[in-house]
Amino acid sequence: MAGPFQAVRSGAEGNPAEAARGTLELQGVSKAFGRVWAVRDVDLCVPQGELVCLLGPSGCGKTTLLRLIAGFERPTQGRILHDGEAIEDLPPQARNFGIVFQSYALFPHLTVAQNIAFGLENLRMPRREVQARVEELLRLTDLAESAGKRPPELSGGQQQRTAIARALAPHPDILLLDEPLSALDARIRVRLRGEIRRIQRDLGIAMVYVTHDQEEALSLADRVVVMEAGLVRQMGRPAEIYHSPRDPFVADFVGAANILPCRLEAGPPPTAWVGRRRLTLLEVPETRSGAATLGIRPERARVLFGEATRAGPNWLPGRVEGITFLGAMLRVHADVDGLPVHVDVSQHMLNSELPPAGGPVWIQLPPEALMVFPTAPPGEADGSA
Amino acid sequence: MVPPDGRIAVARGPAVRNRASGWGADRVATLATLLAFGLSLATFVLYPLIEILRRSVEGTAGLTIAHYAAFLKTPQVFAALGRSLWIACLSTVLTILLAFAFAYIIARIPLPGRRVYAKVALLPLISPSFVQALALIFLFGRNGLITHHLLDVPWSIYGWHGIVISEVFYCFPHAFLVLEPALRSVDARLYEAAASLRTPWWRAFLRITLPEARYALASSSFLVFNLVITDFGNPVIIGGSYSVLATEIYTQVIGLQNFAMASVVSVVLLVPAVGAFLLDNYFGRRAIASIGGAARPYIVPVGRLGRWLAVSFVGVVTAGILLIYGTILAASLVRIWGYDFGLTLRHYRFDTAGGYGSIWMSVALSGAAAVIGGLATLVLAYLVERRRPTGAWALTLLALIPAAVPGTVMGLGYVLAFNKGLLILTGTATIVVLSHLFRFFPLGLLTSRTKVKQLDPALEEACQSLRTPLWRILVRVIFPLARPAVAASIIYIFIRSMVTLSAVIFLVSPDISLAAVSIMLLVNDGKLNAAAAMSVVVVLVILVVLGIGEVIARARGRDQRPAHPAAA
Repeated sequence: MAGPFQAVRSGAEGNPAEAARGTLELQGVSKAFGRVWAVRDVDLCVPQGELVCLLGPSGCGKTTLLRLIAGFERPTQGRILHDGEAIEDLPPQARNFGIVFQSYALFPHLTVAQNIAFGLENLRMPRREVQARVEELLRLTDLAESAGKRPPELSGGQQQRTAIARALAPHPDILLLDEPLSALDARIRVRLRGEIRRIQRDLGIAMVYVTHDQEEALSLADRVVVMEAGLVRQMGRPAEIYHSPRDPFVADFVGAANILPCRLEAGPPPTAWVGRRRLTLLEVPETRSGAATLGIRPERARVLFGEATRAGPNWLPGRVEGITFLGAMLRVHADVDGLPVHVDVSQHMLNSELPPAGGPVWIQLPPEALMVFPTAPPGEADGSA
Repeated sequence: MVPPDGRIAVARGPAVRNRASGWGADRVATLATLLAFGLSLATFVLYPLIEILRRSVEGTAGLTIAHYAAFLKTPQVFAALGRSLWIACLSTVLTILLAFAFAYIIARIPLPGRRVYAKVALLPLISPSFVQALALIFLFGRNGLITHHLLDVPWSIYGWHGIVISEVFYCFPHAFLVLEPALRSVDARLYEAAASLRTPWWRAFLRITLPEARYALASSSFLVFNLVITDFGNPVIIGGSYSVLATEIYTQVIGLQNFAMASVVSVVLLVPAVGAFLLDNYFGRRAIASIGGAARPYIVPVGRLGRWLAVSFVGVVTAGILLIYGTILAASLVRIWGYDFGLTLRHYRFDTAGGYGSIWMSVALSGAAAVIGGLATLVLAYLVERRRPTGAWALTLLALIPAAVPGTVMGLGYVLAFNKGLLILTGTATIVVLSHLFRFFPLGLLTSRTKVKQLDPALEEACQSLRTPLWRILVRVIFPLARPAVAASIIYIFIRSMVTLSAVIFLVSPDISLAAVSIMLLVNDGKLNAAAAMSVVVVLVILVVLGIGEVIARARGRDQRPAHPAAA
């Protein structure tokens, strides 16, 4: 992987203590519960200093994968290496990974400071050092004023930061976080996301972060691993995942997408037929013709009401099904030859009054915005179109 | 990369890479603890039962069924089987009818003071099991207040009817505790739907109330059956010459020194007792599973007559229970019941039969068993629920067996097993503590398991990832969080140990006398007033312990709020 994380990594290599923390590597890791494969054949490498998000819908295996890394589950197949050593048979106690649980799992009867000190005391660290380390972490997580409080007296965000501080206290090699923000309000979630990112950068520690929230994954991660049904669908930098999803699932899960079945013609010019409508493409991948799928993000399609001048290719006529107010944007639900197409427009970009439901609309799917997947859409057999 | 406020210094602590951080040692500690539990349960639960089985088939030359043949051929012994079954069935039917009606009213008719009624109904739980029988003797015995002084009829309470009446009072709170929550948890919406379909009340009762309560009814019936057939205290005091299986074991051991016959009777008694216990468990689990959280209790719309009938019924039942305790208290305070009703405190001197020494001995040994049991059940519950070792089911089964075994049988087993070889314990305080401990281990274990199951499983994972040694998880996390459950177990084991008679009747010795046994000996000596006085003292001790428990629970109540909504 190129890009920003490379810089972080080289920075970390400059410090011997950091370099010793090692790289986490998963090789063909699979996990079966009875006859169900929760995780299938996952290869993953998490170098020092990188924040990797495991992203997917519930039941996709992302939490199981995290638990395999943590040591709470053993892989059915495959190897897990840390710093070159096989660790898949080691219990969690022997792995030196910090873990932040979805429910936080704070000790409710201990104060914030006692929670943070808990793991340090297990290492038989001298009291004085424990105290110093706890104070460091209280400062790092901005909890100094709550040190004497017990978890039930804390806000959700403070509990969350306590959980992070407790996990970080014994200098873990890697921090594993299982949907750490899912129990919080949207606003606090965004703020804490920034906090986590800052702590991660400050410490230069590697993090594996499980989430089902694509916005969280995109804004936070150096690298996103999109999972579905136990499989890694795509792995890459957030922008890469967003702009060049490998398949319709990723396109639709990471950011919204309109998914349209089509037939490809290599051309020239490269062309996609959606029903009887003809769309121009920039290129057809692998010069393949036949049944395929088009995707386009709602904000990249354009919409015109009435008979205004239509510049450029790929304008399709349709009918307005409804309009949803999203705050900054409006989402136009249109029907194009029986296919639902959503388009997001800024209010000030509208060229006229909003049309009534059932009114005519023109929708442009610009060639540069079209994502072409050389497979039929999920749920439709190949060549049935 | 370097943040402005020098946080980087925080980051560069020593990288702790202590991989051999003692998890191997921890695994050894876990295994050793489990092994210790397995060994002690095998020794003090399984081995005594095996000894009984062995003695029942042991002849002068190898195995024999001669003892079983003798059991069938000795009419007065064999008859005890039929009597036990008859008493158990009759008491079960009567108890369930009464307790169901009582629970129905308490759960569904908003009478003023129904909490008081419910509290009174539970009184028999905290007294020696045979105070019912004792009170009945004061009221209906040869010199009874009602039969002799008020009515002067030549009717005697001694015999099967006396046993049945005592058993009904003794088992009533147990059945009530199963039936009341079941009735309360039936959703009112079912009845509202039925009413909207114009269902008459009797049809709603037959088609909704009974089916919804069927598991609780079955469970409580088998529970009561088990309690009655295993009960020793009431039959021994009020049965007269009417002997049942539980008392027959006592007669065979103490009267005839016939250990082989006592073992045969024990094995015979085990069959219905264990059968009823298993069925109670089977239905009980279903009854609990069918109790939903979101039900709105149904309030029966009763008219004036219905309300009046309900009040009279619960009034009569609670009056009956209060009469028993009132009689005991009164009898302890008068000179000679039946002849001289002048007030006196002399019965509280306990000049004979161990005196106060037996009470303090009971308190000490019950307390020891309770504290060990409360803590040990928590440790075992934690290991079984959170570490999930192989063979955990066998360990749990072993620990739960004593709940099914009649106390007399358990006591006989201890006498047979710990009278020889390496473990000579008879006549010591140790054997009494062990008997209390393992006999009441099951409910302590169930209480602790329920609590451990409620704890967020992620707490255990957090402990593991923070490399917490076993002892530290137990001391710093599990114990503080499970403290209310431990307190409940301790109080429960203490109370049961204080009032039990059957298991310890064979274990007392000249050095070790216990309150419950002393009361029985006082009754046998005809010193009924002193027996009543000692019963009162036992109940007072229990009330004091319950009061202390309550105070501690209230004081702790402040910091018992759940931590995080997801963890609650």
